[in-house]
Amino acid sequence: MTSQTPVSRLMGKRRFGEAKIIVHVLRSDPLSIFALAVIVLLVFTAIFTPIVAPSKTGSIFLPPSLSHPFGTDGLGRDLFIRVLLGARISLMVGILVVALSLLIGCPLGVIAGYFRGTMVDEAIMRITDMFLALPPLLLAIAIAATLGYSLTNAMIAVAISWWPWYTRLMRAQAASLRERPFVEAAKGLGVGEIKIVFRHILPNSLAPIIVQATMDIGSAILLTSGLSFLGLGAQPPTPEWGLMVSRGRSYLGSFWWYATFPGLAIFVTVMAFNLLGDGLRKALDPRLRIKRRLF
Amino acid sequence: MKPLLSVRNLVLHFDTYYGTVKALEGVSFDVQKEEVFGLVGETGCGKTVTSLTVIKLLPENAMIADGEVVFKGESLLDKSENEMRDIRGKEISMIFQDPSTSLNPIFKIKDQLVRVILTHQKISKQEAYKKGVDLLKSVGLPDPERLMNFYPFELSGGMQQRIMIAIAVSSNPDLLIADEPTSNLDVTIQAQILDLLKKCREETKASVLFITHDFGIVTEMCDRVGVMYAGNMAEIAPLRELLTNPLHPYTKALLLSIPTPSKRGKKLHVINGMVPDLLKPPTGCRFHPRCPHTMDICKTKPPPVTKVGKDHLVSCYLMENGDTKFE
Amino acid sequence: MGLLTYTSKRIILSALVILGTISITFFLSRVIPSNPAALWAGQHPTIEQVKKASEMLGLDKPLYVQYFSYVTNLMQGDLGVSVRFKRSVLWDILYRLPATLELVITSFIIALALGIPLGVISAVKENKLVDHLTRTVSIAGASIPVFWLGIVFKIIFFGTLGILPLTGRLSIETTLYNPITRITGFHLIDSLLTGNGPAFIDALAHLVLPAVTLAAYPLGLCTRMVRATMIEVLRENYIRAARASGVSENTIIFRYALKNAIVPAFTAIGLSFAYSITGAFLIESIFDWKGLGWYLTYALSAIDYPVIVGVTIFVCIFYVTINLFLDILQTVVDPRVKY
Repeated sequence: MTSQTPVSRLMGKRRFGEAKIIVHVLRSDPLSIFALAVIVLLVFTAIFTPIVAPSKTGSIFLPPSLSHPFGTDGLGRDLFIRVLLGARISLMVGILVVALSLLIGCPLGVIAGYFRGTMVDEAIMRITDMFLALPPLLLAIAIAATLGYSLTNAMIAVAISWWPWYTRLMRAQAASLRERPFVEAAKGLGVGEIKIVFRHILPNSLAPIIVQATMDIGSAILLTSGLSFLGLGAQPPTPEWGLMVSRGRSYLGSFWWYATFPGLAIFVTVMAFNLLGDGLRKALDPRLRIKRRLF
Repeated sequence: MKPLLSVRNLVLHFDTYYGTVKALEGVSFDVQKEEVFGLVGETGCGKTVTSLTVIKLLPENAMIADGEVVFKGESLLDKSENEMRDIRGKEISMIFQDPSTSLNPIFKIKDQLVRVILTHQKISKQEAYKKGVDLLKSVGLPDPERLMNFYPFELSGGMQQRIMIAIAVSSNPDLLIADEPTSNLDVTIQAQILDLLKKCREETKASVLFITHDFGIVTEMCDRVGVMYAGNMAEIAPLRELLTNPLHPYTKALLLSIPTPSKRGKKLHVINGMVPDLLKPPTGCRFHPRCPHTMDICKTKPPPVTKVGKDHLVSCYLMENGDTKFE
Repeated sequence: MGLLTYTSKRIILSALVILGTISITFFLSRVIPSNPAALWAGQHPTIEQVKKASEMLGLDKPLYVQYFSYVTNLMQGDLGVSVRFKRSVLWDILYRLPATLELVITSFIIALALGIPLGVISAVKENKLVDHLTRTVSIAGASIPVFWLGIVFKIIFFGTLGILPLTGRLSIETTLYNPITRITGFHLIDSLLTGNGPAFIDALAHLVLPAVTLAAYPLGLCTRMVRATMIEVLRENYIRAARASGVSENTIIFRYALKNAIVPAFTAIGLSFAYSITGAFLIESIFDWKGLGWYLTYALSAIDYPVIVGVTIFVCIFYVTINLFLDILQTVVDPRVKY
């Protein structure tokens, strides 16, 4: 091994081999494959439904049938189409919320962790604690109540209450990575601190973040649909799943399909992301890679 | 004389996502009564895994493909888990390399020690407690009564290892397996622990299967030595015999590479090449890529074990013209 | 640092956090486009009445004065007065709290009683079929939207099977013929204390669906956490050493490993308890369970800002206190944690 190879490039080589193993492990886990399939299906639905879907209407409150697989709602709109349209909204919500939380939380966390023990760390952690102390739903309610009820505001609310988790996660990762030999080596080679933080520590902390973020996409969808259910998020006529469930609530006894199917959609979607995240966690943890027998 | 422990042709594989790791390829050796048998080799050569196979504490993905392990006349590989549990700690005990992680950190010493005593001896709790205190005293720990209420992390490495030894000998086992018990300790503490092990052995007449990579320790502790390389037993001989007349090229190279004062100023002897990848081990004799005397036959199949002299066994084609084959 | 110093430090920090939260909520609430004075003055107020109400509520004073008086009131435990009900917010909160607590505590007990054993089994039989099934179920539990599950349960158990009551904490018959004397506010406890058998059964029947629905998420979380920590622990050297000394497998799993595993899982599980409070709010709105969440939901629609702020702060304080309690508990339970 030459001494000229930059540290990060060596790590890059290792990571490529890792990627192959990760894919292999994922492929062998039936639940992960299932989850991935569902998500791909969702993305497909999200992209293509607005384009190809016919706007079918029928009489109001039709039960599920061949022409209306999920029945119709109080305005006669086909629920199946509406649920499919909702996929796009929910996926966007999930991804945007997580992306926003990551954007705020990760850099803060890496900085706090790398400069652990200093004023910078303390300051960041105190602010984080303040936001962490707020139960997400409550903060979301408070913000939504202030800024008005809309899906965008609900998303902002969730992101604001969520970024502290990533900060904490990143901080723990960065703090432990800081002690590793390769960081010392980089410092010894004269690499500047900022560069170390962003070129070396950040990429290596990604594994648990990826796992968490994947599962959080599901949780974000769960939370924002909950807010919409309470009326604080999406407003009618948006085909948002949580909103549809709350609309359907009044017709529980007689027209059960109105509330059931959108909720089912939420369930399946969130579960897919959670399963995928769980499978990723297995795949990314080298210690879990022992093959075991089924019985 | 019938040996206490007899291992024959042990073949062990591990099933992993990277492939099948062929960890042991036909390991055979005996441990006699009241002797200290040293198992020597580099890290990764299979010493620990061999001992784990003896007490059947292998991870789930391990597969014993072939071989037998006979202890006091009975085959251990045939025994059920329940039967093995009776044997572990009572007839065969094991102490591990890192004492600081071998003791449960959130339980006091007395909880752990007394429980092991109670597992194998049908006595009352108070009696077990008293026995525990006596044991701690006998391994050289000061103020044993107070020590019982300590947590492991509050003690030094040397003390932790003594406690491990106390637990291991609490029911007077016939065989004590010591897996690099001093590798994680300071040299001075090392000497103390080795003395303690010698003392234990004298008092209980137990045999010891001593695993190490340090030849210095071997010379101090062992009666007979087995040298392992890459999942194979290369050579077995009494200590003196091995040091004065090593036959396997690997053993010779090992002994040559030990730095001694006489070699001062000269270049250190190294063995060329690297330890083989056990996912795709070399064909035939696993040492052949690094052996200075490789012949064509070495690459075909693993060499048979040849008996040389009274008590000297070598696994090498160079010895083919030696004495009777090993049974 | 002794335990006392550590605790005081944490308390002070928590207090600062609460102060920060209060400030944020206060300023947020003052931005709400509502007219609390008008709300206070009642139906069709005259301008005079609104002005008078405004004075009385202190809304005409500058913002920082309002902030100051609010915080000082807070210190004395005065959370303000509900604009709509004209009652002390604190009093209302305390009246409604037992209902929520009854719900949350019951669901939590269910979650732990099922989750811990499931997690242990799952870990011991790692990657076997049992594990895959448990994993799926626990992830499902963590993925189900709680409001939807409640609705589905209602449809199944009330609509189709007709065995469990639809909403509320008690049926009308019980309130009329077997009213529960309020001692603690917990219907289950109170009915037992007063020997009110039929009311107890009725309260229990009403508690089942909401509690089980609420338990789904913590159950899933608990199972996963326990499984993860158990797997880690079972891999440790000291477990291997314990096995090598012949200790029975049951002892190793349930006495040694479980204790080792619970400690790190602790914080996560404890946090989910606090999280359950917010889940309870959703449940309360579905099952018409008159607890804190129900109270808050009403306030949101009426934009009764003292209530909104009051409940938010109360829950925050509760949350922070639980966090604090958990932190301290952890240092006590785990002898290794150095403070």
